[in-house]
Amino acid sequence: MENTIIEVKHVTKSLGGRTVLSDINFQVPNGSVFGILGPNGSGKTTLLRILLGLIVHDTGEVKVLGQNPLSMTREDKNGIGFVLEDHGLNERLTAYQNIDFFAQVYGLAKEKRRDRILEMLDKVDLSSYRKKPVGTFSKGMKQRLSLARALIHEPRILFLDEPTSNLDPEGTVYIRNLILRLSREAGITIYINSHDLDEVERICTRIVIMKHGNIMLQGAIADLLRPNNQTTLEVKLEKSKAIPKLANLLSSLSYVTHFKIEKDVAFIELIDDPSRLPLFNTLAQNSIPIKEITQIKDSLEDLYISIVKEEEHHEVQ
Amino acid sequence: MRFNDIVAVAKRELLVITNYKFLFLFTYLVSFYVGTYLSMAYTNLIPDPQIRIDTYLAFFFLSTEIVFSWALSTLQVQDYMRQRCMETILATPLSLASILLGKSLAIFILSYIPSLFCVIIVFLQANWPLGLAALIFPSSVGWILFFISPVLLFGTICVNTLLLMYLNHSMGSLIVNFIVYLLIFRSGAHSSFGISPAILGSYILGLICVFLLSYIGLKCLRKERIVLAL
Repeated sequence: MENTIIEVKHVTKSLGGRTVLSDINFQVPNGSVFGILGPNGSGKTTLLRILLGLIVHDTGEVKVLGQNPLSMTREDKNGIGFVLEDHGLNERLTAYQNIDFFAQVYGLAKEKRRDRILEMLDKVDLSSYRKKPVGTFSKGMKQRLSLARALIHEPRILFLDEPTSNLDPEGTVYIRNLILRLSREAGITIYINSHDLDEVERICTRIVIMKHGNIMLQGAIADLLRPNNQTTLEVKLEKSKAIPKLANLLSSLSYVTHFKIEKDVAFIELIDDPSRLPLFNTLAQNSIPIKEITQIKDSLEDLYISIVKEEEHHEVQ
Repeated sequence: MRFNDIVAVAKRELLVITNYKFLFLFTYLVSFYVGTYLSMAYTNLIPDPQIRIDTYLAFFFLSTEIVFSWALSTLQVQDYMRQRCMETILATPLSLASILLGKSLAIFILSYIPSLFCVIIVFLQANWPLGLAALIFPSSVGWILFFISPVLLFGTICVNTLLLMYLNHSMGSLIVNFIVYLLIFRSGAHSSFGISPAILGSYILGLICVFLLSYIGLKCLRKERIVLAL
C-alpha cells in the first residue's frame, strides 16, 4: 500500500477571472487525519471539488489513490467516500431509501445491501429511524446519516466538508468521536475542510492553513505548535527584588534560548522539554523566590490568528 | 455507463416524484386539460369523422405526455436544487449519461403510462362497436401513436432534463418543447387526410432534432458547469 494517498502538485485554478487557488502543493499520508483550515473564500471547497473530480484544475497535478480524479475508473471511485457541506440527502425519502440509492450506485450486491445498510444505520444510532423521512431529522441526525451514506461502500479515504458546522455541542462531540474511531479502528484516511480550530486541533494529525487561495503553513500539528521542540515557561516570582538575579542567571544558562521579564513574571523559552528539570534545580539552588511555574501551551488558535493577522497586516501596509 | 446505474437513478426519481402526491395529481390534471384543449382545437379542422377521432387521439396523447413530462422534469430538477443533493450525486461514480437517462426514464414511465391509459379509455369509448380489435389493429395514425410517440417523448424528456441541469431553470426546456411541438404538429395541421407524408416527415424531423440535441447537450455538459451553477 502506497504511503501517500493524496498528492497535490502546483495546482492553480481561476474562476471568473479570479485566482481561487494559487500553486497549491501538499501530500496526505495514508491513514492520517488531515485538516484544511482557512477562512471563508480561502479556496478550501474548490480544492475539495478538484479532489473529487467535480471541477477541473487549470495547471498542476492531482492524484487521489494514485489516480487523476478526472480519469478515475469506477473501482477507483469506490475507494472514496465524502460528505459535502450540503448533506446530499433527499428529505422526502426515508433514511433507508436514501442510503439504499447510494449502495446501489456503489455496486453493492442486492443480497448484501440490506444487511450493510442496517449495520451502518446501527453504527450511527439511527436504526430505529430507518423508515422515517429525512426531512423530520435534526441537523445532527442528518449529519450522522450522511456519514453512514459515505461509508456504505467501505472507502479508503473519506472527505468531509465542515463536518460539525451548525451542530449542537452534543452532536459535535458525537461526530468528532466517530471520525476518530473511523481513523483508529478502520484505518481510513480522513480529509477535513474546516474553520473550527478546536475540532481540527483535537482530531487532525497534519494540517494546511490556507488564505486567499494560497497555502500559508502546513505540517504536523505537534511540529507547528512547538517548532524545534521548544518549551515556554511562565515563572511568577514572589518578590520583584529577585529579578536582576534571575536575569543574570538565565543569561548564563545554555538551554535557555530566550527570556523576557515583565514586572514579577518571567517568560522563559527552553531549548527542549527535558531542560525543565535542570532549570528548576538551578532556580532552587540559587534561592529564587518562586510563586508559580506554568508551561505555556501554544494553541492552534494562536497560530492561526497570528498567520491570518500577519497577512492582513502586510496587506494593509 | 451501466444499466444498473440507470435503473438505480430511475427508481430514486420515481420515489421522489410520487412523494409529491398532490402536486403530481394536479400536474396531471392540468396536462390532461391542456392536451384535450389542444387536440380538440387542432382536430376540429379535419372534416372526416373517423380520421378526426384517430388524429384527436394521437394529438391528445402527445399533448398530454409532453405537457406532463415537461412539468415533471421541472418538478424533479427543482427538487434537486431545493434539496441540494445534485453535487453529492455528481461526485459518485455515476456518469452524466446514467444520471440523464435514469431521470428521463422515470419521467417517461410517469408520463407515458397514464397518458396511454387515458387514450385507451377514450379510444375504446369512441370505437366501441369495434372494441379491442381496433386497438390491436390500429389505423395508420394509431401506429404513430403507439410506436413513434414513446421514442419522441423519451427524446424530448432527455432534452428537457439536460436543459434543466445545464441552465438551472425551466424556461429553456419550455422553449425546446414548444419548438418540437410546432415542428410536429404545425406542418401537418392543414392535412385533413390522416397520415400524410408531411405529418410523417415532421415526426421524423422531430425525432432527429431531440436526439441530436440530447447528444450534443450531453457531449457539451460538464460536471463543473452544473456544480458552479448550483
